[in-house]
This record gives sequence, C-alpha cells and structure tokens, in this order.
Amino acid sequence: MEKKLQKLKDPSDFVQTNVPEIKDLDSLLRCHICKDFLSIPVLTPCSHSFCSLCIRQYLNVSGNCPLCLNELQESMLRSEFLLGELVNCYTKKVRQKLLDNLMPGNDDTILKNNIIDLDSQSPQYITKKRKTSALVNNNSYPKNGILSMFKTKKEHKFLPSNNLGDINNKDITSGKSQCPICSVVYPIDYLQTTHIDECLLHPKMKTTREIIEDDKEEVKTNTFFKDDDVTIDKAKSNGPTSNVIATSQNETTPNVETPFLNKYLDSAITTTCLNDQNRKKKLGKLDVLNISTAALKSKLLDLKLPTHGSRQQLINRYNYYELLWNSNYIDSLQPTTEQDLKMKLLNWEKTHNLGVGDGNNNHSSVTMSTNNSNNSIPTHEHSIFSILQNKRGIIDIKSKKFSRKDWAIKNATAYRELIKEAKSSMLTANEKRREAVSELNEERSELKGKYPNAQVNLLCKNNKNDTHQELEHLLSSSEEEE
Amino acid sequence: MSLKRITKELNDLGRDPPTSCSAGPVGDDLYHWQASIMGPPDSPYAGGVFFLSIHFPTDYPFKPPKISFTTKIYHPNINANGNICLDILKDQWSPALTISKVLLSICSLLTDANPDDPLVPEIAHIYKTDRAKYEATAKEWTKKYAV
Repeated sequence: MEKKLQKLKDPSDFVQTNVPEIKDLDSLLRCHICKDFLSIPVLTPCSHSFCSLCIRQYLNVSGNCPLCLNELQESMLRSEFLLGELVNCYTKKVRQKLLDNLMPGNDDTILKNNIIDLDSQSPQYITKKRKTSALVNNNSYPKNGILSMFKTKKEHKFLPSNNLGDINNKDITSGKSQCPICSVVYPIDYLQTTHIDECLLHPKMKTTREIIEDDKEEVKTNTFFKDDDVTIDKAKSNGPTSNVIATSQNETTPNVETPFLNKYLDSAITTTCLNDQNRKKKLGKLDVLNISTAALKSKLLDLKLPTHGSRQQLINRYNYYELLWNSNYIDSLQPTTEQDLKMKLLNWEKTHNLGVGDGNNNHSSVTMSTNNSNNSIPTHEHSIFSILQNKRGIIDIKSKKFSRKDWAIKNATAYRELIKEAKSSMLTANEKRREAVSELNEERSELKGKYPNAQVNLLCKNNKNDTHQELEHLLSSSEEEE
Repeated sequence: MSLKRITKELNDLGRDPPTSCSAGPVGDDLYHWQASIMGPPDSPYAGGVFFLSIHFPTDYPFKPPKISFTTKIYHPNINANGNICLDILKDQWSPALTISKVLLSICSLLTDANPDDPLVPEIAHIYKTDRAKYEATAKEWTKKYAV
C-alpha cells in the first residue's frame, strides 16, 4: 500500500519546492469528484467544472451540482476545451519539469550557469536570440514550457565546443553532474537519490527542446502556426520555411506526444471537428420501465456489446456504456476509439456489474450462478452471500449478531494507533495555541517596559486578565485530555 | 474510480490530518475503514475516544459512505446501533465531500446536537427539557464506554 500512496500525484508535492504556491494551481486543476486532474472537463450552468464522466455518472443518481447543490441535468453540461487543454499541457508536459527544476538548490544554479555562459561566451548568439525572442515569445513559451529556458545540452550546441568542456568541469567541481539519460545538470546528491530513477521511469518528460535559433524571417512567418500545426498536420509543413522547424522538432523530440496546444483553436478554425458527418451521435437514455428485454438486447447488439446476464445487468451495461460514449464523443476534442470504450466497460463490469463470465472474473461469475440456481432456497442463498461478504472482509456491523466486544478485541492494535494519531494531532494544535498566547504575553510585557505610562498599563492589565483566563482554560482542557 | 479516490483520501489524511480525528483502512480492504474521534473539549463527551466504522460503497463517491459509531454514545442523533442521523450522510451527500470533512461534521454534531431531527426521541426530549440531566448522562456514558 505504501508504494501505491507514493505514486499518487498530490498538490502537496510542491510544498517543498521553491514555489510552494504551485500547490494551489495543482489543486485548482482537479475534479472535485474524483480528486484527480480534470479529464475532459465540462462546465455546469453554476460555473463549476468536473470531469465529464464523473459528473455524468453522478447525475445518474442525483439531480444537483455536487458543489453548490443547485439543480443540474446532463443536458446543461457544456464542454470546456480550453480548460481541458490547460490540464493536458500541465499534467503531460509542465508538472514533472516544474517539480524537477524547482527543488531547492537545483533551479537557481542551473539557471545561473546558463546565463553566465551565454552572456560571457556567446554574445553573438544572445543578441540574435533576443531579437527573435521578441517575436516568438508568445508562441515558443507555452509550447516549450517556461522551463525550456533552463536549456542544457541542446543549447550548448550553439556554443563553441570548448565551452561545453568548461561547463562540465565547472559543474563537477561544484558538486554537480550531468544526468546520463536526459543530460541535464543536477547536484550529484539529487541525481543519485531521486532523479535517475525518475528519469528512467519517464524518459519522455526529460527530453529538452531546442530553441528555434534560425533567421528572423523564418520565425516571423511561422509565429502563428508554429510547431504545433507542423506536427498536427504534416501537409501544412511543405512550405520551405516550416520545413526547417519541422525537421528540428523531429530531431529533438522523436516521441513527441499528440500536440495539445492550439488544438481547440484549430477546431474552431476548421469547424469540421464539430460538424463532421462521421462524428458519433449522442446516445440516448434508456426508458427502463417500458423497454422490453428483447429491445434492450438489440440495442446492445447494435453497439456490438455482449447481451448475456440478467435484465438488470443489461441495463447497467447500457447505462454505463452510454456515459462512456457521451463523455468521449460529445465532450472530448480528441475522442478515443470504440475499442477503448469497450475495454473500459469491461473493466468496470468486473467490479461493478458482476456476472460477466470471463477468465478474470471466475470468482464472481461462479458465485452468481450458484446464487441463481438456488433462487428457490432463500436461506441457502443468504448463507452464500454472507460467506462471500466475509471473504471480501465485509462484516455487517448493523446486524444484531455483530459483537462489538469481539470487534474491539480483534482490532485493538489498529484502534490504539488511531488513538495515538488523534491525540497527537490534538496536542500539536493545543501547543500552537499555547505558543501564540505566550508570544502575545511577551509582546505585552515588552510594550509595558517601553511605555510605562498609566494608560498602557491599564490596557495591559485588562488584556492580561483575559490571557490568564485563556491560559487557564487551555491548561484545564489539556489536563482533561491527559 | 472508487478505489483511486479512496486511496487519494487516505493519502490526504496522512499528509494533512484533521484535528482530533483519525481514520484508516482495516487490514488490506480499502473499502472498510475505522476512525476515531476525540470527544470535543466543550461537550459532555470530553475525554472520551469514540470509534467509528466506515464502509465505502463500490460506487463511492457517487453514494455516501456508511458510517456508524462502534462505541456506545448518549446522543439525540445517534442510536443504540451506532447509526448517525446526519443529512450529509443521506440526502445531502455530495461527491465533493471527503471522509475528513464528514468526520469534522460528526465532531461538530457532538458539540451541537440537533434535537429537532432526532434519531432517539427520548434523549432529544431530555436534551430539550432538562439539559443538565442530559449532560450528566452523556458524561457518565462517556466515562463508562469511551475512556
């Protein structure tokens, strides 16, 4: 379980970096239902954003917005492409780089090294870059991320070769070294403890990108449809100008992922995306009360879905597939394939819609069939069910047979741990309060020493009485705890 | 989805534990937790440690978690089986809520009972008519079962 916990990406990852405020940004980009980063975000009329699948799933069981409890229906949801692109850009490109570069004792040195090297040894390059950067700035920043400014090896390419040697020597003497995988310079400690492992795990995240250092003219013509479009639409890149950039892009980032940025703008320009005839139509809701099982089966067959299982299972299957379908084809700019959706449906059925007989699900399908064959003997069925429950570790605490004593004995150690935790959190909270009070007292006595006139004395006296009471209250409450 | 979200909440509880509450899974089953709440100092439950059992439904967070007291407690909104009468655990549940927030709500329910929507009418009656008697009994039960 420990491992599982460590893998989670949490806003508090940023607390230890030089810019702890990014924590807020990190948590703002999350869905309030799954608490994960927004995936295919949609907007409600009350201006709250959720993952499309999350909110659609919730609206199947409720009719209110989870945050403000205002009335809400599925038809009121609107896609939010820009936010989606923001989250994609952040999670897939920026986040890991931010974490790597903002670790204390990391970013400053790298930045400084580069600036010094560039300024002192390559004035020509710098001036050239400055001229162009004024033109490209807006486009190159989001594409490469702010952190591409911390250029490393790729950047040194533009410097005379002896400079590269200089840099390496300097780095080694100051306790830094180059990562063999991503060739970024880091402090040796950080490299050995965490960075190399991370680098091996996510090699893609580390590839640094080149600045387009070419002629002013070339960059100028490409300021709008730069890099993204080149990779989105190869056809656009036959022009002589963009070819240069296209090749440099391909060289540096061979496994470039699907380009996200400007995707929503493109969709607005081409408009084919939304009015495409091939675009899948929205799936309708089931009229659960009136539809016959046969009609239900034919509906499922039309969608090439399995038709085995009880009526309730068929309904559940259709309903969940409908959610997957609509959140994918209606709300997303880059819908995945039907095959993908079916895999998701299969995974969901394994845990939520028992009875899909396949190899991975032997346990549940067997128990389901035993249950069905014993329908006439309810007591027997019940016992099977309770065995099943016990197997899964679920104990019905509300049943009359439940023994509190046995439960307490069985879980004594766990309870002890919990008590310890709760007590310590309470004590630290009290400690903080106490500290604050004593600080206040000190301040007051200082004040008294400085201005020994009658008025201040009176003021302090009054206040002191208050704080005394407060302290006494605190002490008594902490005694009670102990 | 539910498992991921529960793991996330567990993670958050570890990083930023709520004051005077704690919670964690029982054994390896992440869908079954237990929690403890320290009796709030400004209530007759002060000094007691109350245990709760938490069950997450498979469709959590779309459905509320099932929470009940395993420690006996004298309270107008909590019955002998440990069931809690709290709106956010029933019709007012929202998937935006977390276990940590629910535990804090239960803490505040201990400080401020809601006798107008009681689960145990007898206790609610005493609470309304003879507050001193209610507090004495609550203290006694706390001493007997929760210390």
